[in-house]
Amino acid sequence: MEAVEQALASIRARNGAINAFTAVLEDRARGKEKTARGPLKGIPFAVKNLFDVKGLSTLAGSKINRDLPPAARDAPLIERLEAAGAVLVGTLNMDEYAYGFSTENTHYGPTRNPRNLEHVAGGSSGGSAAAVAAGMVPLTLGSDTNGSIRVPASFCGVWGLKPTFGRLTREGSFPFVNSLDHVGPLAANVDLLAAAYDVMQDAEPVSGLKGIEGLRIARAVGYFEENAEQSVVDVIRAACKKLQVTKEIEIPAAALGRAAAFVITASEGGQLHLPNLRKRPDDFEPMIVERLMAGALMPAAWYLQAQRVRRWYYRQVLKLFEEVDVILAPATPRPAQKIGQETFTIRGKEMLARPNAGLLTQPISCIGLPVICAPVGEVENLPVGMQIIAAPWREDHCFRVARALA
Amino acid sequence: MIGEKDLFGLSRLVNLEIPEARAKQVLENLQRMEQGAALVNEVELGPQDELAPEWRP
Repeated sequence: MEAVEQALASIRARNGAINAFTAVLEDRARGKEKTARGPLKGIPFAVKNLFDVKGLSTLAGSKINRDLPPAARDAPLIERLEAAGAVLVGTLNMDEYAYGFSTENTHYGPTRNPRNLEHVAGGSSGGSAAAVAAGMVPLTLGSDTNGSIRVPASFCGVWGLKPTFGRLTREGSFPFVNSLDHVGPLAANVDLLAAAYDVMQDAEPVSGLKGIEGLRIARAVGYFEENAEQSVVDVIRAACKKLQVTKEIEIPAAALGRAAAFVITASEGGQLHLPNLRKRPDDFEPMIVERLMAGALMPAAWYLQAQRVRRWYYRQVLKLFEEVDVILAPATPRPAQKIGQETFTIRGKEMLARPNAGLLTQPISCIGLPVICAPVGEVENLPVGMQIIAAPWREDHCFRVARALA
Repeated sequence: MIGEKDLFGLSRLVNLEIPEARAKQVLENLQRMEQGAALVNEVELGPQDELAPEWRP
């Protein structure tokens, strides 16, 4: 059976339990497969439902967007993947308007973690990670504003790439926070992650890169260990040992970077949706509507200061890359929480589960650094991922380390 | 800390009605944002941290 037919059969068999897909495009996929050519020939893929797909309304996980007219064309990244022979088979569930880390979507139902259906898949690209982890498709697209590729990749045990801010076009994707939005691929293995990234980007290819000789690699300590469970830190240390990484480094002011990202996100997200918050507040996801309203009310002084601090923080972190090429850090403070779980505990401190799954990803995306999330181990029979972080525009460094771990 | 009075003042300014039933949750969210803003407010900044250089005609 061809890969596309296998994917469609797998979706029919498994999606009912996992709820990763919000639309399956069987006719389109079968039509495209006949003419597919290129390095990704016949590889089935799916996209988070904030990407434009010709003929579908771009839901972005919302009920409100059902009223939008169908997209007139595919997002350019979909066009790129299909031009390389990949075949789009469907669209994927997400947190409404990408404002969440769990994909517990009230309108479309929660996406369940394929490794344990009682647990969340992570978010906001939860459908994108779960579809890969369940073996329904080997490749998906997601978006990452504060961790929305890396958190679900970590929770589901798949590979995810958040490229440098601005590397991949966001055209044809529904925005969340224009200052922070990134798009990128998730995949079942590093080779496919690299191959898909290469057909979407315009710089030097990363496919085939290997070997970490000459790379200066360090493990992040301080904030990134203090805000993760010890069991997660142990998994990261084991991965570092495999790479023979002994150097430690502290990313300065990571908590400030996270605070800046939090303020910027709230303000821009609230402003984006202000017209609908005025007109039809009851149609929003109940779990985010009050947060969006609060963000819309935020004084400009808070937002502007956060934007300035983001620049300051960027300059602090950039200095680290004079000493190292790659920084390794946990992607999530703990493995996936249960669906409906309101709080979790990190090093004895109880905190809200949904916003704090992004504790370790927000300080990195805030300044647009490229990151691969690699599945490196398990805690309590659930996957946890490691962030492979490099200087801006050095995705090649991320891929060299990723391949050494694969 | 920002209070209920401020909340309804802000909501009038941006013409966003906050229904009574949502007021507590919105206020709690805004207070969390205020805490984030207080953290970033403590950073001493220089001219190179201004937003202007990124503007392009």
